[in-house]
Amino acid sequence: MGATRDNGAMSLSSRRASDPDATSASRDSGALVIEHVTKDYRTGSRVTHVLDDVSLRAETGQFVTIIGPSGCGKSTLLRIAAGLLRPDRGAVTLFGERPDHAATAHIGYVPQTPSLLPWRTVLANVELALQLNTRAGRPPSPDSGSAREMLERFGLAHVLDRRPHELSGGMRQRVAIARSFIVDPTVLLMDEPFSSLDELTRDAQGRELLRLWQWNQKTVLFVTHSVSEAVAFSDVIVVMSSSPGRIATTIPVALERPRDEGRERSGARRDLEDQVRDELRRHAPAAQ
Amino acid sequence: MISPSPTDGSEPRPARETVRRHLRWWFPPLVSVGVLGLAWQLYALHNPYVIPTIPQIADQFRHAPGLYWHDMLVTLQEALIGAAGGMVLGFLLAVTMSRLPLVERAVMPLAVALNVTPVIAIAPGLVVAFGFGYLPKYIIAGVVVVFPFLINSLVGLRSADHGLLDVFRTWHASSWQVLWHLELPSSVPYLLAAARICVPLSVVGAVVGEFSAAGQTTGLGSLIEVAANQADLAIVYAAVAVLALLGVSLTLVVVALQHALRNWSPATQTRP
Repeated sequence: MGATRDNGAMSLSSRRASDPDATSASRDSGALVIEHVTKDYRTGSRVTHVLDDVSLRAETGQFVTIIGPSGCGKSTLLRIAAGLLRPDRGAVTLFGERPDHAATAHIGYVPQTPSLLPWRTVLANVELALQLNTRAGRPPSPDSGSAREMLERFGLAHVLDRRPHELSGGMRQRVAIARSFIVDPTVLLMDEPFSSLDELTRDAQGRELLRLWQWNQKTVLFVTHSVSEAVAFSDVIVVMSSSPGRIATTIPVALERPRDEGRERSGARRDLEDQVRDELRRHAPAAQ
Repeated sequence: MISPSPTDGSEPRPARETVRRHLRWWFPPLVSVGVLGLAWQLYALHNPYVIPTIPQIADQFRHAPGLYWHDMLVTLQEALIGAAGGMVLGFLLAVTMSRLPLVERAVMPLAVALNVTPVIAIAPGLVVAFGFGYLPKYIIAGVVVVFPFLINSLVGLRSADHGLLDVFRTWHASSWQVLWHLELPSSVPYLLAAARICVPLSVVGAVVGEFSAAGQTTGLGSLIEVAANQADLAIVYAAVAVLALLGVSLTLVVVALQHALRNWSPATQTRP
């Protein structure tokens, strides 16, 4: 009895240990590779299937957007990609390394709320990223430059000594994005960073993000529930369906950059937005 | 900047506004204190063996101000040393508990038990164990503040923004860096709110300690004990008045500190 139980535990743990190695052997140079990720949440005796066999990849320098209804597990997927959550099954690799490996993974993570330290100035908030990251054994990269330069590049030179509560919501979010750029991440992970902003601010912030992304082509995984954001930003749009979260379809976006805003929207862009909306509607839960 | 009143009007208007605002602020408490004083005085005149009249209490301060000043300093010192020790201990326990859930499960029941046991019941035992000096008073003043400070510290340490915790984790910040740069500063408003409760509470602890140490002769609690045994009501109530003033003053100090740090972590995270 005891022996068989031991065997079971052994085979389970050895499978878990060998999983990442097995997958990394079969890998080419994808910047971010998510393979067969499954995640359940357990509350008491109830099990909610959040993610079911989700696989996607982002090549170096690609802007990949995940779009889907609320509760489809897109934020969970992003947190798994950041190494903040462990998948029940499957694996995530950044350039062939596990995301929670301190020595290798450079992640720029932008949470849904700006999440700045209210007792620090804007400059001190961004400098903290450099300070803590350097201590973790990573030399500051020459690309990232000083926190001051980075904030100037983000158009925040005039608020360096302000505290977060003195800034508008859009500015706060821009500081948070500057903070994620300063560690010179290989992958940027953004969880609906503009969802709390009004539409005008959101458009301006989006244009700003695209400009900076074009300046130093980061690999980006961007979670949103806005169709126009997805079409304006992405190289690839991943449409998710909910309960359990699955990838419904993947739509490559071949529109030229820079993509124009507002009125001058091309017909191709409108068609693409309609296509994404159709896909979302087709995979929406029956109740809605 | 803060006052919403427009500044375009004529000169005397803001002045009159200020007077009216002060009146609105001070009038209700002045009336309630006046009514209470009058009722006290009327009752004391007809029942001289139950409570002293207000002039009798005032005479105490006129004749022996040094006595009350000295005893107040003794009680204040006991309360402050006890409060400092108790708050530091409560905070360190909270930090340990927030790191190690095992310690929380082991220590929390003891802390709860200590908290629900009336301190006045523990005091005589402590006096026996630690003598008639200041030590048992420090301990009693400390014991009453440990639990409220522990609970508030724990809530404060856990109030750190979840998005920020995630960001720190993607930086691979160490547990100490998270504590120092995120959890500790996040808890500051909670620590101040706890101090507002704990500092006056430690005065209660100090007085309980003085009551329990029969034969000791300094501190406002001892003064009350001795005077009550001699039925010297004017001294008893004069000491009570000093204790009330002491508690109010200590509270005001903490409130001033809270006011000075009101912009420490204004809520920016929840609203866009």
